[in-house]
Amino acid sequence: MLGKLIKNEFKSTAHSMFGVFMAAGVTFLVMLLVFLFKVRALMILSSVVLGAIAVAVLIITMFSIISMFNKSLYGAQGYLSFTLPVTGKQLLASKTIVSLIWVSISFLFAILVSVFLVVYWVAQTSDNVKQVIQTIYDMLRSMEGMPDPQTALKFLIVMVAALFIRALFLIFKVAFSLAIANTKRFQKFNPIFIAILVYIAIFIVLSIGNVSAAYIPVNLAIGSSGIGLVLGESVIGLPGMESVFMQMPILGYIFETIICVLLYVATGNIMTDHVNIK
Amino acid sequence: MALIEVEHLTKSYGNHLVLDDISFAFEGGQIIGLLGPNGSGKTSLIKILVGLIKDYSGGAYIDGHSADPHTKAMVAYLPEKTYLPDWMRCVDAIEYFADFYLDFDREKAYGMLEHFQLPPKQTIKSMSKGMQEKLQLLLVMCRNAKLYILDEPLGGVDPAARSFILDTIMKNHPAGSTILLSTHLIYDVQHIFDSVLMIGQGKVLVKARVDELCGDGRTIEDVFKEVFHYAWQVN
Repeated sequence: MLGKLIKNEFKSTAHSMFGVFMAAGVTFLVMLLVFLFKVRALMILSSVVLGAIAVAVLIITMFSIISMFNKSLYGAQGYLSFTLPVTGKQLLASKTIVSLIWVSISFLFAILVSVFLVVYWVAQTSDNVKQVIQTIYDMLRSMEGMPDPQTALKFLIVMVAALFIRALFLIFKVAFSLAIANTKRFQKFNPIFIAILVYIAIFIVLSIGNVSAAYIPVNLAIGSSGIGLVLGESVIGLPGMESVFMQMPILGYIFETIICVLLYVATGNIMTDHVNIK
Repeated sequence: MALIEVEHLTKSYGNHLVLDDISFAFEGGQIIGLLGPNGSGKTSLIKILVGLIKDYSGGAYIDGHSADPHTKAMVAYLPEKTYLPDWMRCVDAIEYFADFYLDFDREKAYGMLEHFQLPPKQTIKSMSKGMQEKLQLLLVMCRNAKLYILDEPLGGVDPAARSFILDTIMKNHPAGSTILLSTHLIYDVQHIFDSVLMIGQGKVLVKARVDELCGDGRTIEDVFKEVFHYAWQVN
């Protein structure tokens, strides 16, 4: 059933995302024509439009996620969602997975647009694009503590995992706030208003936890000789490391992972046992 | 075991008591009229049975279970509201139901779509309220469910549409299935009921088989008027 929920959830959200990705496609096409026919007057305009679309994709993704939880669960569509032969946790899991997919697509799209715009402008201003890119790459390689590509890839994977945790954390905070707002105790008030208040309250409480975690210096470090753990002043797992290129505090992410699990269980239980559909 | 069983069920909205410690049970295989004036708690009772309201005390069971995936798989529920997402077309709605309900008859649904003259590719957003209600009725009646719970299917429609809806319900529910139909429009439907449950003032006022209730030549409508006239007087 989870697979079916995900499939239908994805179909449903794709409708709100379709328009903005279509606009991006058209802009790409216009930029390509501008490049081929050397219409310099449209170069800046089309670049600005594409940049704006990338930002719009991120904003629309956030609104679609909120709407997916609010409208399809607690609005009139809740009569359909909550009478399907599935559990509250399955409903929550499907919406979370689809939200994560859209967040990933949107971020990937924003990164691709940024890279595309850089290459596009380099191509417009220089005759040898390959050489410019090689120069940028060489500059990065010569930076102090820069790891070898294999280590950099490992670190990139860790960074992506960290971004996933952060996105998941955000999604669960939204889901929990909306679930609380639709329980008997709060239903007489405006659910969106209550959800915002609950969200702010969770944000404040969890920020205290996150800030406290930041005071405990447990960092993941990347250096010229690999990836290792840094506890205070001592570096673990990086023998002979000459310099640290980048550090990432990881205790906050561990804290957020634990909170994610707790929010998932709590929201699933609220949806199953306490939510009323008006 | 009774198919529908309610034990000491109490539900209130703030200080307003809608269902006050009610208990009843119905065996399967019959058409049950859930009758009462507007605001008597019919929809609340139904929403508790299907799992849309969770803050109540007492018990409400279908096939021995409180609302859970087991009961939801066997109940075909038609709410008063139109609940399909705007972006869906008739075909999407049919595929959606076919995906989630093992008892859904896809072929029958496409046949009924044609019979109901609903354009398969038209989106819900562009449909009239009447068309949306027709589509929801189609989706519910294309399930081979054990229990159909229909909340005011005749409310707010003209007499011709009422007869069409009743006809669709009667022709399409499988033999041996149970229908719980709530309404305050008794006259049009009284002939289809095997049993009735009249609720008002938060209480069960009448629970009886139609043949027992109307043995003396009275109609259900007569009994309804008698019961609710009395109930309003004591209020």
